[in-house]
Amino acid sequence: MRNFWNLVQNENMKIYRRLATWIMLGIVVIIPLGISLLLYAVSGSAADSNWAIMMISSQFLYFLITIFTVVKASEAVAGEFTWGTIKLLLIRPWRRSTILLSKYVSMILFALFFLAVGFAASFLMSVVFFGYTSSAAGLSQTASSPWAYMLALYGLQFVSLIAVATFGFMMSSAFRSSGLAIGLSIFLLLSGQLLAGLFALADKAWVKYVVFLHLDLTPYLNGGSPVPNQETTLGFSIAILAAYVIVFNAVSWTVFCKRDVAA
Amino acid sequence: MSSAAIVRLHDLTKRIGGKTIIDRISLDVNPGEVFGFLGPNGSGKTTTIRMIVGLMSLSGGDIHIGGNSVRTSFSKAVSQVGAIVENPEMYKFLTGYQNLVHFARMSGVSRERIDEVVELVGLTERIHDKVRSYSLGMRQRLGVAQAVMHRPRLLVLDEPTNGLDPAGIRELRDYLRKLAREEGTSVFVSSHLLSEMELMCDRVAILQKGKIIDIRSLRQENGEGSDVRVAGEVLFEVDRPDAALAALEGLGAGRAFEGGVTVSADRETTAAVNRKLVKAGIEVYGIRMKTKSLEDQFLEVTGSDGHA
Repeated sequence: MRNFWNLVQNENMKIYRRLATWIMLGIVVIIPLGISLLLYAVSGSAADSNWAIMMISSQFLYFLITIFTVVKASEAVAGEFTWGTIKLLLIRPWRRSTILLSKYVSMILFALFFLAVGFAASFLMSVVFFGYTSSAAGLSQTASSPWAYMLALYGLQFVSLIAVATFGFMMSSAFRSSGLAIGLSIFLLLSGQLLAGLFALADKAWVKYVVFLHLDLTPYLNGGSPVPNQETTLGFSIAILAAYVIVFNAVSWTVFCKRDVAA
Repeated sequence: MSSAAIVRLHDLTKRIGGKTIIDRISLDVNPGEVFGFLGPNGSGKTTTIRMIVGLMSLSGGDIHIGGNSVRTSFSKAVSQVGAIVENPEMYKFLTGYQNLVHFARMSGVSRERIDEVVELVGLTERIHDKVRSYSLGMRQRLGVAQAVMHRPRLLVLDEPTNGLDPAGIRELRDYLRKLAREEGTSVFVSSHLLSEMELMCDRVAILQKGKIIDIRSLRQENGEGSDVRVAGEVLFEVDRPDAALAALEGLGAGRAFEGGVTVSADRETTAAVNRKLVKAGIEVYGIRMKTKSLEDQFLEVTGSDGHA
């Protein structure tokens, strides 16, 4: 068996040899700069702890990086069909499932890379404008270390991001149209809160199994729960997301491996 | 011979939505053979090729490549195949070289071999430019490079001459014949361009509405005898066709027409006819075999649906 990482390397090459990817990365650096600069201009240097500023930047970045990951994930599958390169890709001595897995892995690596850059950029920009403090007071009453709090935040965001991106991956595999996949994923991302409010009205026990309610896990950081009127644990939320991710992936795999390539 | 066949299609069938696209096709392609797959648009050429390279599933029958079934040992079967299915679509945002590295990683091809193949297809000058800037001919050559770099035993090409200029077509044809001759690579090529196939192929199968209606040899050298260039009708250009016809009484003379007569004759008879005509004082301006081109035959067998 030839090396699986060769395939991941190929996928990475197709991501990072594109100018668009580096423009995305540039935006991930510029957003925290812009936000820090804006808040500095509005309130002056003494106004806030750098961690509170980083928190604001990070919430913007979460949406942005999720969308970027979805764009890359849908391009990785639907793009091959659009470009016609799928015909050259699938006639190699590799199983289709392995090829799809390499795309999925490269998508996760992309998300990790961008989150790491986002973390570093939002931290540095906030420190440059607001100075460094080791107190977590600006973030939360309960947190002891701001580092632990921020890392936990990024960890939780990563989990939600993967759920949304996997949804995009499935759509792209099912419809072979990156536009549709990106659109529906953004809808999932943005409608989460609206739908959460809607489901809260239902006040039924099954509401806690609805995926939309678990896309924002950050309430757990302050001891809350993302599901209105019901107590849930972080483990429960992650289990729910994992179940959905497995279903999404099962659909992608089935469609991608069975499909006749006629285009 | 057939036990050594590099590709064997056995009762191959494809049904899509209750419609039978390919209907129990069976054929063998031998090592070092250039095999043409001929048929009007919509006859199922591309579908068959997509099944051979694993882009489409089989509804019935089987395909063996080098003895490996594409159903049960796909990786083994397809690792012996290089292919261009329709236009060679490459990643336009990568350079030609990066494209080749991409496919080389999937087939375990060394960097030295990539350089060798680049040289072979004559892209050395431009290989580090983005594919976006390539002409169609260059993309086609890059397509050939990715198809042959892992030294496949079988090359599968779907309409390879589409969109190429005459020089490009000729280049490709010469290259394919060279591969078949020197490296023993079998080539399975589909086209609706009959004259092209005539120049390129050793054998052709004619496909119509998902069925093979004929398989025939195109090369006399193979010793199987060519049945394409039907020797028989010989055309004599003469000054007085009617007199010529009269002079040939008893030699099975055929028809007279404006400017000549046709006679059904083999080699010896042709000489005898000529002698007779000269003796009768008839001027003979030319003698030629009336050969049927593949195109005539193709249209004959595929009937009125044969608009290629």
